[in-house]
This record gives sequence, C-alpha cells and structure tokens, in this order.
Amino acid sequence: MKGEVTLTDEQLNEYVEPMPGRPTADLDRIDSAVKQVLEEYPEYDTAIDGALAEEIHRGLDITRRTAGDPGLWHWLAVVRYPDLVRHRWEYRSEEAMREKFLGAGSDLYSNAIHRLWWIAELTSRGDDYSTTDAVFANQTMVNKVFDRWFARYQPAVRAMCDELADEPSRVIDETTRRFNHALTNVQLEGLSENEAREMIRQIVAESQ
Amino acid sequence: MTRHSQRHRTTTLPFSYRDKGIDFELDSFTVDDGNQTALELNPAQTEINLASAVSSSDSSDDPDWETITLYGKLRLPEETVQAVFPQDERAQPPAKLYVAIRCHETIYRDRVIISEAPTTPGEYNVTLEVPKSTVRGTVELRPYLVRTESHSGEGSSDYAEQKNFRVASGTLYYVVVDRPDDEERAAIDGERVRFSQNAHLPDGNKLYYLDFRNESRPKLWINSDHPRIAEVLQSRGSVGAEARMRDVILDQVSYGVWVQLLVRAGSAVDAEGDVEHEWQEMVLQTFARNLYDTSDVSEATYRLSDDLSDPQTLPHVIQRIDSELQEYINPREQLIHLMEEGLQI
Repeated sequence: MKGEVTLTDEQLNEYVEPMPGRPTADLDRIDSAVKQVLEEYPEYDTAIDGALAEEIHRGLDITRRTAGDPGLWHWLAVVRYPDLVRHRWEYRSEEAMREKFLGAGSDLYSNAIHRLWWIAELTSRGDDYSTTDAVFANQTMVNKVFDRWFARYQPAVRAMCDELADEPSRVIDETTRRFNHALTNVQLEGLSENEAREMIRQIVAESQ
Repeated sequence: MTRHSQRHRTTTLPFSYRDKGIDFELDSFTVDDGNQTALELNPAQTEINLASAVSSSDSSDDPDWETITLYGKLRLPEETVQAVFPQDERAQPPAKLYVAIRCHETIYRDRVIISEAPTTPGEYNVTLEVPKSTVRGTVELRPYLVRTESHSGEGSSDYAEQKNFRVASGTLYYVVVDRPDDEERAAIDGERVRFSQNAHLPDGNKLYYLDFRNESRPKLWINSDHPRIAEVLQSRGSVGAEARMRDVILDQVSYGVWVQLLVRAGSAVDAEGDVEHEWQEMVLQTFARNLYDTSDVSEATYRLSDDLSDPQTLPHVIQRIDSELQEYINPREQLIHLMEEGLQI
C-alpha cells in the first residue's frame, strides 16, 4: 500500500474477471476528468471529490445492483485509477489506504471512487447535480450526512443536503445528530421527501 | 391472569407500540411474466430463498430476470388498533400501512404503500415488486403502521401523538435473490418444521432431530413448535443479544448432531476401510485424524471403527469424541460473547 510498485497486465489478469451483466461505461470521459484533476489540483485536496463525482456518475452506466459489486470498485481503484487514489488520499496507515483501494459494499465511506459515485447517486435528480455539488463543497456535510444510516434513504438525504447546504458546521452537526435521534420514533421509509424536509427545517431552526 | 405471548410484547418506545402488531404473510411469487408460484413456507420461516428460482443457467453471468413480484396479505387486528390509538381515533385510525423494502448491498431503502389513512382493522392484499436493478443478495421486507397526523388531544398520553411516529410493525422477511459466489452444497439438509404436526418426528419438546431415514443424505429438523427459539435461530445479525443467543443454540445443536454423525460414520466403515456415502467420508476426513492424533486418515478410520464396535473401548472413544468436538465447536467462545451481552460486562 505504501511506496511504488508497477504491476504488469499479466500480473493483474489473474485477478480480473468480467462483470456479470456486462455493464458499460464511458471510460474515456472519466479518464479525461481524472487527468485534468491530477494536473490541476494539489495532492490531498478535498475539492477533488466535487470535481469528479458528477463525471464518474455520468461515465459509469450502471445500476445499483452493479454498484453493489465490490469488484467493480476494486478494479477502478487498483487497476484503472490508482494514481488518483494516491493523489486524493494521503497515506496515513495501511488500514486507511487499504480501505480507499479495497473498500466497497454498503460502506459509503470506504473506496475512493465508490464513495463519489454513491454520493452522486443519492443526491442527483436526473441531470441535475446541484445538490451533489453543494454536498462536496462542504466536507462537514459529506462527513456528517453520509456516515449515517438515514443517508441510504434518498428522499431524506436529498432533503437534508438541500436544507443544510448553507449552514455552518455546528448546525450541520447538530441537525444530523438530532434527526438521527428522531428516527427512534419516526419510521424513516414512511417519510416523503416533503415530510423529511419539514422535520429537518424544524430541527435546523432549533439548532441555529 | 392474562397470558401474554411474544406477539404482545412492546418495545421500549415511550408510547404504546406493537412490534408484532401486524400479521404479514407472503404466499406466492412470480418472476417477470411467469406463473404464480406458491411459497409454501414453514411456520415461523422468514427466510425465502428464491436464488435458484431466478438464477441464470450460465452461473458466470447475471441471473436472467428483471422483476420478482411477491404476493401476500397484511392483517391489521382490531386489538392492535385498540392498543396503539386513543379511543377517539379508533374508528378511523390516522395511519398508513406500508412495507419497507431494504437491501443492504445496494444501499437501498424504499417502501410500498398498502393503505393510506385512515387504515382500519382488516385484511389487505400485498403486491411487492422487486426490480433486479435495485437489489442483490438479500432483500428485507417489513410492514409498518405509522401515524399520519398528530393527535390533537391535550395532556400526556400513553399513545404516540406525533405525525410519522411508528405505532406497529410485523414480521421481517429476508428474500434471497442471489446465491453467494462461494456457496457449496451443505453436507446435510436442514429444515424447520412443527414436530407436533408431523408423525415421523419425535414427540415432546425436542429442539431438533437428525433424520436418517434416507441414509445417503441425513436431514436435520429444527422444531418450530418453539417459535421464540426458531425465531432466534433465524436471526441474521452479527451483533446484539439475538445473534449471541443464536450462536450458542447452534453450538448446542451442532454438538449433538456431530456426535451422531461421527458414530454413524465410524460404524459404517467396511472391511476395506471405505464408507458408502459422501457425508460419511466428509465426517471422517474432518475428525478421524484428530481423534487418534495421526496424519493417516485410513489408520484413524479403522481405529474409530474398531473402537466403536468393541464394548471395552466404546466409552473411551466417546470421551475422545467429546473432547474433539469441544475443540472443534469451541462453545466457550460463543458463551462468553453471550454472557458479555447479557451481563453487559
């Protein structure tokens, strides 16, 4: 995980296999976005996330079913874009770096590329990525919203991200914590987006 | 004295709540435009394995289906409505009834509304569509009854008073739509069934029974006459009291099962040192060498066979088997987990 090793295609081929369903992707589009990021952004700059999330989400023509296959994200991080992973994430420990390359599955916060696609998937509305952009413009929101289980329910996460977009870290912290606590009594999937928004607005007002 | 069964348990919510206040039964399914197929679930069975019904002929490719539709019924009993709504709301309960659909692997949470407010007691038909594009692995289905309006009455109440508060829920079903990649066929089959309703199974309060009517493929029956135990055995979690208790019960069952399998397999060894059935070979391969502390499985198999057939050596080999199984199952580990969970230490 640390240092430099160049792996040949032959060394990698042993571990690479076709994906079920044969999903397609516009890898040229992602290649070019990644190249641009590597040239324009300094190492470990969190703004890299916002610059890439929409391109990665648009470039991968996949369903949630396919996105649930860890192999896809391992291939993208380890084989296709390892330089991007290292450029975005400073080596702090073997465990942390292993997660950025080999995480995936239901943990939204692990694999470096999986994380960008999923946050875009949960916050975009068709071609509108404005909520996705707002989320990545505020790292507190990324951390406090997507590390919680309610973030898996799209109506709630969209309402939360919209309502918190312009709020300071303290309010984001307090609102996500209190909303999560309210879900002890409130059944999450029963909420429409408007109902979630109504609850969140009330909590934001009380948290300011 | 009123006798309270498990279905009447409440949770620790600060208002009246019925954890099992909704009866939820799935009875059939279709795959795409195919015929409707009955599910034929055993009592207390909550895991529905549809992986083989939807699997692709080419195992390396994605299964060839688009939508699974599950059919069933939700019944909201009068007693649940009376328990969770104040008197003035019971005629027209301000509540909606829906089934939450969750899939851990695809970070998916959604719901299918079965009844909008008011939801009165009675039976409701359920049709749940599960598109392949949104799920993989196991899909969870659970019904909820949720308030749709805040209660306008005054003062503190034993009832949930705010809009969107959940007031009742029902059985959580696990629908398996994909077979794990590395799943091998188990050496013996297992099934849950009510012993009291099957003449070939033993009477009394047995927890399990290992059935050798088909010697080539023994079958383990778990007695679902004990719903609380059957429920715990079906729990899927890896943390919490239920999961800890499940692991301890499984250790207990597996000890008894292995003893029987080992004695049967050891007694079935022929003069050439062979056994007839695959499960017997598997059991001997797994245990015989350790029983006799030798790397030669043939030698160990002969010794086990001899020891089991001689009244002089039988007690000693049973002691060896006991010792080996305690090493193999390691019941101590799961017991400590359970104790830590139960005693909070």
